[in-house]
Amino acid sequence: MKIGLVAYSGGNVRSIRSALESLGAKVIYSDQPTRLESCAALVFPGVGAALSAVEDLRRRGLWDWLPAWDRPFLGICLGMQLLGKSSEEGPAPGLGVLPYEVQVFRNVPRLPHIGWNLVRLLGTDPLWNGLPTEFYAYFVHSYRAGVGDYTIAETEYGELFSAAVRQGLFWGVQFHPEKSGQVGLQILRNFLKLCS
Amino acid sequence: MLTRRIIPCLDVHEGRVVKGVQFEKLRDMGDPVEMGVRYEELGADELVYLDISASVQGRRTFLRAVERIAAHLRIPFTVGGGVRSIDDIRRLLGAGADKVSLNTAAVERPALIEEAAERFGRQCIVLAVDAKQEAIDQYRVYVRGGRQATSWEAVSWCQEGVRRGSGEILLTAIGRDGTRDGFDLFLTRRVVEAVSVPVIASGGAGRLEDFLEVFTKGGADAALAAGIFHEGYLTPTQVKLFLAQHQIPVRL
Repeated sequence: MKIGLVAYSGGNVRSIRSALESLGAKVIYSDQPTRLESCAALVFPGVGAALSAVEDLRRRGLWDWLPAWDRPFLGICLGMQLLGKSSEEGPAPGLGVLPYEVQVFRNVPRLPHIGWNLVRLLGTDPLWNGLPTEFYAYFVHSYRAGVGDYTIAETEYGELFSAAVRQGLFWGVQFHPEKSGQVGLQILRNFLKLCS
Repeated sequence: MLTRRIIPCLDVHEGRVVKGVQFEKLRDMGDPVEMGVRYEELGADELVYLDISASVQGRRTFLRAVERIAAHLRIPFTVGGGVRSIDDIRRLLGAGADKVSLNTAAVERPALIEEAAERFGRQCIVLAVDAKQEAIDQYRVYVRGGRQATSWEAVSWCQEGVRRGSGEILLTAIGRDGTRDGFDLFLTRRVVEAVSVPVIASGGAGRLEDFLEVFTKGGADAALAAGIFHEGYLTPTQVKLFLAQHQIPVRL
């Protein structure tokens, strides 16, 4: 199955790519809508700063194209944050697929929020098949989306925030499944099943 | 709750994990990928790989090792050792490292921290600080593998590094390195209280109690060790089970 991995600046994609390939996916790493169009699903990675990511996506002509995607979509870390309305980091606009405004953590002892934190699942979702209701996942970020109707998993760091979100076929995870050991692999496996 | 991390450190020379024996001979410990995957299975939360090759060829070999590590490891890893420039950082991150640690080059040209943080995001720029105690409450920063003194006092340099954009501090008490006498709790606590980013304590791990103390008394966010893990004296999971018994949040 062909999975499109959206190419733009700042994304360290080697790990997510090898994780998807180890699960049997054929990964198309590209910034060309015409090439990505042929894929069964998109994975939208992201590390780095929101504003420069937005500028880069615009330059590559992906900004207006991405929200119209009609198959499974998985945003990771900054990729999840960019699904929202806006981000305080920059500040930068979001793709507007989801209604949240991403803000910096307040009243926390240390930033970035780096390390393994507990993810608590809220209800069932195909992305969570075969997982316990609580598990540890690896986070690296300083900005977060609050909890809302769209939240399908939450985590606490000074406050509760969205560890994972969903709107239709758009999923987003704030943690890094490709860095979260076997649990993370199971989530990616579930995502691939959604596409088949 | 955010857990405390246990991080094995692997020194890599010409593409092989080695252990220094009394500064004379390097003993071959194994393949960096195989050892990394093994540590992942043994409960490591993260890994640090330090390139101690001095040659250009050794650095190329290291870069290829980083690519292989990224392809096989499913936990995060930091790479460091001899990182001099933005180009070096770009190559290492491009090869799949999650974070890059800066040491000597950052002291020689502190603006490198800012440039790197701006370019790649502060979350992937780790400042490695080697500190040596000179008086009861006085620690000096050393560079070039701990051989050369600088004019920086350790706590001030950590603060300066964070101000310039480091997202994490890897703090090594060189006086404790390899001694197994326990972490330098005083130094760790001083730095933890002085900076707003996570602090990884390093140098001196020998017993289970050392790990407990570096979290309870030192306030560290993560603890790094090499020898006790490489020799099979303890595993990361054993350390974390002990920590959990003492109410330290860990990932098990």
